[in-house]
Amino acid sequence: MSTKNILLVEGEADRGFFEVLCRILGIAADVRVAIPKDTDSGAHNTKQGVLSHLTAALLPQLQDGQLDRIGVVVDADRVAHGSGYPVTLQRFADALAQAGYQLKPAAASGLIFSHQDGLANLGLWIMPNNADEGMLEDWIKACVHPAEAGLYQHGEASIDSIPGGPKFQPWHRTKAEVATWLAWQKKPEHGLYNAVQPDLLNTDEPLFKELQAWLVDVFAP
Amino acid sequence: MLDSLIIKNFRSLADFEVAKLGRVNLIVGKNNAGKSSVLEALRIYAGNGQRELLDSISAEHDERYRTKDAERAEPDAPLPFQDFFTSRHFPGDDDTAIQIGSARNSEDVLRVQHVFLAEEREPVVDEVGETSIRIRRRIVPKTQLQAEVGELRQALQITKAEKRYPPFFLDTGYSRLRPPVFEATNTIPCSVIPTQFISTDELADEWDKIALTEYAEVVKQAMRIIAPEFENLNFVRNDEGRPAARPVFQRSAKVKLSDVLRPVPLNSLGDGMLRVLQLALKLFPAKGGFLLIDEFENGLHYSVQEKIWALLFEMAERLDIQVFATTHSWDCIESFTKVAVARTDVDGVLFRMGRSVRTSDSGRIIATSFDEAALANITQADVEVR
Repeated sequence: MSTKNILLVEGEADRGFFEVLCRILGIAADVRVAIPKDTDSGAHNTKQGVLSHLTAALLPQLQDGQLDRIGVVVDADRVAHGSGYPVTLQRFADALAQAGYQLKPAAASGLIFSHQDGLANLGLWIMPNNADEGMLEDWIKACVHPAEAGLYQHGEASIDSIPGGPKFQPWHRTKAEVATWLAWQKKPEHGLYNAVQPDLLNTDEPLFKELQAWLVDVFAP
Repeated sequence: MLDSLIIKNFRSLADFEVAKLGRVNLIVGKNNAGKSSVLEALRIYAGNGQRELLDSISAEHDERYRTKDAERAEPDAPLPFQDFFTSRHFPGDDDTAIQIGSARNSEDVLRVQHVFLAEEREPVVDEVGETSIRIRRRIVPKTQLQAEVGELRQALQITKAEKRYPPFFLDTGYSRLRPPVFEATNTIPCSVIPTQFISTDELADEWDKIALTEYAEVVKQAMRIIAPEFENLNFVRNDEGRPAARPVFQRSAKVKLSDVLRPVPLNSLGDGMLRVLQLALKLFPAKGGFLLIDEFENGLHYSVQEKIWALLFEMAERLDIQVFATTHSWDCIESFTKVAVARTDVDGVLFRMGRSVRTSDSGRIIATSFDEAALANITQADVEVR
């Protein structure tokens, strides 16, 4: 694809999710969803990979017009693990400040950085909602269609009743819930992208509308 | 070795900078982005901007480097070397000059300045009473040209670090005797591999310099990258198809292959062998200086490019050569990247040339650099060169 706009996300599951989302929002032709190249797996966590790829490979390419627009989606992750929303925002804002970007005080949706010397705005979205701890799955959970609420709660209850308790770490609870809910859909074997369907996600949910508005603002203003 | 690069007011490069150079540097960019201008600038820097060098660079572009005799008297006749300057005319002020050199060390910068010189003749009497005429020259500031009564001659003034070279005049014609050639000091060895093929005679001369040395083995090793059956190489007098009445001394390359009993002409083995021979032979005269390769991938199938890069990285380090190569090909970038990332001991830098979209830059050509850390992370989509 020859598009000059890049949406940089943490990993393959997120990429699949955003490719489908961009398609249903009608902006897929304008955006290439990319992940940091997996060259030193395990050496960095994925958020660090996104930051390195952004600063070393992507930001320089805005200077000569090889790239026009960049959006970045990362997870806030947990405060207890040294991350969370404020820490994540600070790390990206520091790196972007060195490239001449300032956070706009009150963006209509998501986080928008403006450039002091004529480059296009750059978007940042910290999952789930640019405020709380968490990850993409927390955003999905918040946007589950009301008609799916019963099935989703059944999944939660099932996890609660796992004999001997779950094997996963407590902070992966939402991942397990979303995976369980998706495992009981018509196409059970698919990834996160399978959640992006009109009857599974509530497109009227304010958080859904905000992410949609942010994507349009960053890539098709 | 240059640690960084600035090029100012040279051709399309009004204000161009690469903050950090490596030992091996790959330059990418669209047509007309100025890649070849960077190589030319490096030749001028290495050769201290001496006239013969500027003449030959101009001649390669069909640009003017001598004033025609018929035009000598005409004040408006086009002057040589104007095409070297950004926007193709000499600057109207005294400060704007072509600058080529290190971005970090202003001592290490070559300046080419267009000047007006006034000449004054004064008699000098020596110890034995003989009188001779000495010509004194001084630069007339461009703001004071109107006030000057005597004859003014236009010239280029070259300076590098603290050294000022004798100016050369732009009004000298083809027919005039060549001015004395000053031995240019402090030049840097510079080997150029153009997009076209180099003449066999030139290659034969390079071969003569290294025959029977360890470097000849390096050349053979390079040839085996393309043809594993390659055994040996020699340059012989070529009488093929030449009438005996007009003997011209010319040589051609013969190759011994393990699976053929008699020597075969190198030219019968394809472009790849010829290109590799050029690369390998032009390495040695670049020792301690620059190796400039225009369109690295010429004649080279992608499957051999990685091995050629590996050889170049190795020899560049061993012979203290700084390599600059241009390319249009993703295969070339990919093979360069692999070797650059693997050879942690040898700095590889890729830079793409293109026009800045920053408002304050008004479309000037800039470099976007990728060091080894960034190279490890890029994909084809990141460094599109078409």
